Amino acid sequence: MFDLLMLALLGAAIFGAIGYVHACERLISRPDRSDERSA
Amino acid sequence: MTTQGWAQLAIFGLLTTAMVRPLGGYIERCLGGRSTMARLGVPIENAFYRLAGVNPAQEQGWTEYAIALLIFNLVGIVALYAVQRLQSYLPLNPQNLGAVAPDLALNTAVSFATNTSWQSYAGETTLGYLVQMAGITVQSFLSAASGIAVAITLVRGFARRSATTIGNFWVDMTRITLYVLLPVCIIAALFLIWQGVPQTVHPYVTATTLEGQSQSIALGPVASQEAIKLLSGDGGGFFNANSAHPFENPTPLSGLLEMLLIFLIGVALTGTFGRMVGDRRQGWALYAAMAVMFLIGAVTVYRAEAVGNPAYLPAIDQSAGPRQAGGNMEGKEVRFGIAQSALFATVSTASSDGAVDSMHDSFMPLSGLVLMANMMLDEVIFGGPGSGLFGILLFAIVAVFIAGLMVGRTPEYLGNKIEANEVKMAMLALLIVPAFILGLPAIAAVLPAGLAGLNNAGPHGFSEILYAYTSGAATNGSAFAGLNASSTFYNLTLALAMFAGRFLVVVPVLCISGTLIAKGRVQPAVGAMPTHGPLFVALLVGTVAIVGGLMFFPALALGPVAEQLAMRAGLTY
Repeated sequence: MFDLLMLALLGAAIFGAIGYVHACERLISRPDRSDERSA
Repeated sequence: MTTQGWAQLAIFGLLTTAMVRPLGGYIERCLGGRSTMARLGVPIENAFYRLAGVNPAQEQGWTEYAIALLIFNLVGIVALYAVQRLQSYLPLNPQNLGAVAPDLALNTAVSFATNTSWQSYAGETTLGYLVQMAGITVQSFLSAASGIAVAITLVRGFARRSATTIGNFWVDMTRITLYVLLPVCIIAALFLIWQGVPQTVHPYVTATTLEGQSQSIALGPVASQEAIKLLSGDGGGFFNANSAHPFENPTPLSGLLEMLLIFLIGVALTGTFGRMVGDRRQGWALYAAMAVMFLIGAVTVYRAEAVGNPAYLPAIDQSAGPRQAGGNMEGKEVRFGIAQSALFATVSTASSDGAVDSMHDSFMPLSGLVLMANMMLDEVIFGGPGSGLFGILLFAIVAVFIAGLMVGRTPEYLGNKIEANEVKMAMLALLIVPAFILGLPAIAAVLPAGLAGLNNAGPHGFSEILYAYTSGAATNGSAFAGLNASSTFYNLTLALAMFAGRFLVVVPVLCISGTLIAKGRVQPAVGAMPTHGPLFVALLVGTVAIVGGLMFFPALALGPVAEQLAMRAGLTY
């Protein structure tokens, strides 16, 4: 039972890690509006 | 502090410096497929690619590279978990050791796949030979190769004029493993066997002691694991006592080799960096920054241990002399003494290795502070294979950003404009580790499950908890001892710290590689701050110290700082 839970955790980690990659990708794709804010 | 001790430090420093140029060049040639070894290995390399269905000529963008790396390492976690759980059914288990408990198996699997090697188990009573060889040792190779691959992509980001790809993960992994890690490990393993380290798959030996008692002496394929344990920055010992065990580290000479192996890749990569960016002075600047921080730490630890415990003065003579090593010898092997133990501890925590030849829990509080600070500073002092280089480059990005703000110019490093995306990702990578180093001990220090593992009260007890999570999140793996971390609570929370400290950091690093490569490198602007001189070295060291101090000083004040002050007042824990 614990083994299945562990494997489920690891499976979730794989999906989470891929999601994290895409989150970083989205973060750098945002237009930089810092100049507008400072103006 | 003795002349012999200073001589050991000087010899180690000289040998380390001498490794930069030849090994840095060798790694650069291997990755480009231009070294003799790489040319000879082409048929083997191509056989691997054909077997795996990889086209070596096709490079990947940063997201593809990151996903390949993550999935490859996560599959490694599953495989290592499985072999531990199935151990009792597998061959090469002459002691008939049973299946490893699930939470411990998960902790160990995450630990070795993340290049941490935190061990909540004693190797000789928990793992059979097959798991040690096909599980632990294999992950040591692969996790080290992954770290180097990530660092190399970041260097490509700085070095390439214009591209959209950062390299091919499978090619990088194959070349690093075949041409860098394997040859060095074969030579190192043979050297260790010569020094007395066993290499056998025979069962443990039963001996009769002088008192007539029966004693089981653990053996195994130690030398082959020892070599990659040190070179990979993994540090997980075959035996529970790690490099303090005479079968892992029999002589002072093997001790010197072990320290050199720990630093070898981290040191060499500064040379590789200089060559790849086309200006070797840039590599030497990073080396100088790392060396300054290392020297400060090593001398501080050596002095604290050589002076000994002030609470015992003047009643007990702790001076070095012909009849005693002097200083604080608690938890240290007589064959290594104060100087080598202090040096080994500093090397092990400055890098991400975590091997120990003495018990860090028995060090003076001031030494404990240095060892923890080494890990908290993201292990940028040469660091683990790859993680040291990309760690210091993250700080370099922050340093040039701060310098740019101060002088009102667009930050620039090696002809690369450092803009919002690079700074965002650098800060993300630098802040993730502290979040886990500080957050998890805060939880453990108030929960009964966390406090149950303590063997010491007061600030020393807090240091034990803080050290454990620092070691985990910084992917070091050394233990302060004193803390009984073999519980479900610590196994799972430390696994979380190790997982986050590795994978949540490498993704932003790969992202920076992608953004830098997409922008391309231009001619450095006139008036841009030179990044190969003493001013940049001072700025870099200052940035590391200030960022590290701001984040960690409050926690350190509750642990080793409070203990040091209490000790001076005659109060020990």
